[in-house]
Amino acid sequence: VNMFRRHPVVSILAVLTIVFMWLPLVVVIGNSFNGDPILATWGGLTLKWFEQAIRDEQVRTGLVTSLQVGLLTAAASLIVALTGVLWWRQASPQGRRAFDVSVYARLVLPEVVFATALFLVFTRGGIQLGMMTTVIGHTVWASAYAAVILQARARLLDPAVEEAAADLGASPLGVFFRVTLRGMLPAVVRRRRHHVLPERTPAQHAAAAGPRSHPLPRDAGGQCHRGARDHVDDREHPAHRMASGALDAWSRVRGASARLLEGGSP
Amino acid sequence: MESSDTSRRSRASRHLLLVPTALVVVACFAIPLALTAVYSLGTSDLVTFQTRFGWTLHNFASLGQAVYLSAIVRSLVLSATATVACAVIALPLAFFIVEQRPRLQMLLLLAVIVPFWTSFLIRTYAWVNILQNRGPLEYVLHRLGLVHGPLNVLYSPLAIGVGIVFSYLPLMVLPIYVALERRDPAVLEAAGDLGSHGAGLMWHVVIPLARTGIIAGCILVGIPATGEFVIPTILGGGKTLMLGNVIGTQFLETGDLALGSAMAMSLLGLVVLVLAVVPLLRRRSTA
Repeated sequence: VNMFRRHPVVSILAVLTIVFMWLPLVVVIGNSFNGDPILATWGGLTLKWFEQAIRDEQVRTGLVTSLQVGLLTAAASLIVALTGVLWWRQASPQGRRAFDVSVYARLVLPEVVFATALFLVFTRGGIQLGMMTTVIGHTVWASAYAAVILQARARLLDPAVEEAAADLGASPLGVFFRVTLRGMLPAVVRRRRHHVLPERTPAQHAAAAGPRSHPLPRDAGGQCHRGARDHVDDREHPAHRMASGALDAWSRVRGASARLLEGGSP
Repeated sequence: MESSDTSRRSRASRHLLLVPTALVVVACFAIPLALTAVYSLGTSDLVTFQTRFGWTLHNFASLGQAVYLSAIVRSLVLSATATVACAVIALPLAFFIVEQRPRLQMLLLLAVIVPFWTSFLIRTYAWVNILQNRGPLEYVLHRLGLVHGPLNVLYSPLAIGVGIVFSYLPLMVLPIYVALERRDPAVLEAAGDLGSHGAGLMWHVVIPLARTGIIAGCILVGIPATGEFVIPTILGGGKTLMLGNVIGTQFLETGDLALGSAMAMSLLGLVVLVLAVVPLLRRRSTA
């Protein structure tokens, strides 16, 4: 209320912007319960679209494909990123810089460039486009994003704790599982959660998947089109942490690196 | 002797950790990009769909043709306009959020983030429903007396602009929020005490404070928007082509892989140029 009194124009613009951001979501939710067959007007409350979706073989297959792509990508990118960051922790300054360049280059590259480049390799190599090529495409990008998050967490780990565990007789694997991995666990969980969320790299998907693999969002998009229309930098301020985390998440929208946002060079 | 063997083994096993990353970077990133560069210097036969490798710059010269040049210019203009629109829209929202109590800030940030947890395709298709003739937007504008005939916005550059602004807005709001959140609250109080209010306060105080966030946001929005592929297809109806669409068409439909590769390399060059210029801007803004 105080803000509305002090800055009325800014406040009204802010509220209108939030309405703008929620509008498509409200429309999608509203239409999913709209009984009108072409969704031109309000045709009464219905659950028929949900029933149809559950009965539709293509939707069910799409959902399974989405989950498979999400889980395989999460697992593959986690392995690539975790091993890479563990190497990075003990690497020389030159090695660290080379690793950083490899991570940020993958984040900065426009999606369409990367997708078409992979398409060239797959077609040239006679590799059939399908789910595995989709997973590979997503993993290349997603492992870079996972590495950014894991690096941020790895910076907070004190090597002295690992050394102490080793001095007390823990085996290298014991140190890894009981100290290192435990310390990085919050970032690992975040990485997995992000990947099981709906995939959102359609250009990459279109080029890498070919006609055989149809995750759910792509199918649902097709349904709408056809007319059924149916950083983990732990700062004290939780809102700031949330914004930084979300920024990291969206840096995957192919355009920039999280480091750039932190004020460093790209 | 034994200890040197052990240390060598441990060094080797440490380097083994790099193998998955090296495989991904070399096989799935460096080689594809190098292959794209090689293709961009070759010639594609549109009858046999075979590409002959060579050292010709013919494909890059083709980018000067009106059809491709217009797509490049349209991409740059649309992405620049959408980036500026994002900055103009995001600034009041970020300022509004940062001026709230911490708990409300969290809620408002969630309001910015949560819509983007839904599928990108679904959200973009929802705009088809909103912007179409006889759709909800036309209905509201008719009721307000702002529009009298059909809306005719869908499948136009304006629809693409709306889609880009909508899709990339959080990428502008969040860095500006982060930049403003780091400010000294006394600065705004001092500006108010000295009589700065409204537009003057925004122009002379808030924008300079948010400058680093605005620059970061412009990169986050501008670069992917230039190569945008999906939004022009859905909201432009395939009538308004952007560079991403033209590249995609060369690869997936026309089969001119050499020309498509040259376009992809040009877009990459553009991104590298922007990323080279931004640190200079940042240095100037902090100096």
